[in-house]
Amino acid sequence: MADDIDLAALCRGDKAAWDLFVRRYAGLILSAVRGPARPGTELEDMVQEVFTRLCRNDYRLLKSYDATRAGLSTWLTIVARSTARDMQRRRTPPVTPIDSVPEIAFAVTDEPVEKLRLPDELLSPRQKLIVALIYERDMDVAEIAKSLAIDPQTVRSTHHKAMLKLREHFAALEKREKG
Amino acid sequence: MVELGDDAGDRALWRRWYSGTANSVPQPDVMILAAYAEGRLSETEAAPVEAWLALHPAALDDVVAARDMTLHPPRIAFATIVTQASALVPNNVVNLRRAAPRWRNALAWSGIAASLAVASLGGFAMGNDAYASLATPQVVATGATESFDTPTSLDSLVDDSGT
Repeated sequence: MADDIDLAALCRGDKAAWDLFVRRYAGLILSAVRGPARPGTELEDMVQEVFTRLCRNDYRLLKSYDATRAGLSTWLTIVARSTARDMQRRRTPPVTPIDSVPEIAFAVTDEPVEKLRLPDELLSPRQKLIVALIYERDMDVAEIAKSLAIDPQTVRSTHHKAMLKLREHFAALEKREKG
Repeated sequence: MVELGDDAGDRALWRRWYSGTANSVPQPDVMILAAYAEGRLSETEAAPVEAWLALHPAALDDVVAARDMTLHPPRIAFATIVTQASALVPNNVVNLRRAAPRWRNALAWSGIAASLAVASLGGFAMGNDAYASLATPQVVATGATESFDTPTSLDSLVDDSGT
């Protein structure tokens, strides 16, 4: 059971359970698809596509939901947003608004292109994520802290440690190249 | 206050490292992402998710949206959306028909076969009756009723022609 909806009955094709599920979550799914939707997109079509995916192939997607791992609302939001993005990818060629591209992406530098494969394990996944959010998405500390549900000071210290590692790594690399 | 991303040297260092690392991390499935959004994963479980998010930072929006949606779930949707989505699943009557046991199907076919047999027999009987009812007036019209009904009369007719 999730939020008093009998998912087992729903996945057996129980019409009443499906109707209750639709009434309960149509608003959430509509709100979720609105996020990634581009202006002028038919939101109703997107919501319909989400519901279709949920019940397609004998409710295969819905059956993959595990109530012990996350709430149904959380899971549905990610499913809905993912579906919305898939639909947009299918319908329109990929276009990125110029305002959403970080300036660094346009920068022309004289830096040599890295020939060697750099060690992925140099930074921890958390360090990579925080530094990527800072430099790839231009997010500030407060935004990152809120997004990852961590303390702003943790963001600063994680970034600091990551940059120390990178500086040490490249300093050692350059020393080796010169030597 | 100077923001972390303002340091051009650090940014260049990151870009240099980022462009030189492998960019293939398997995408976590929806259930794992949902669990991550709710903070239910251990540090070990969260590591591959964060490694993937580092390569696809835009996907973090999904995680944040999912978390916010749980805190403030919207309940309003257009009636048309609800009606259309509801129609995706048929009524239970249809499902019951689909799930009908085999004996019920066998019974139905037996009934059809029995009906056909009764109809055939009935038709045959009716055909006989119709033949009889058609034959009688014809004989009456020819005035040979007695000779048809009584073989003796027919014999006498034969006898007559033979003599």
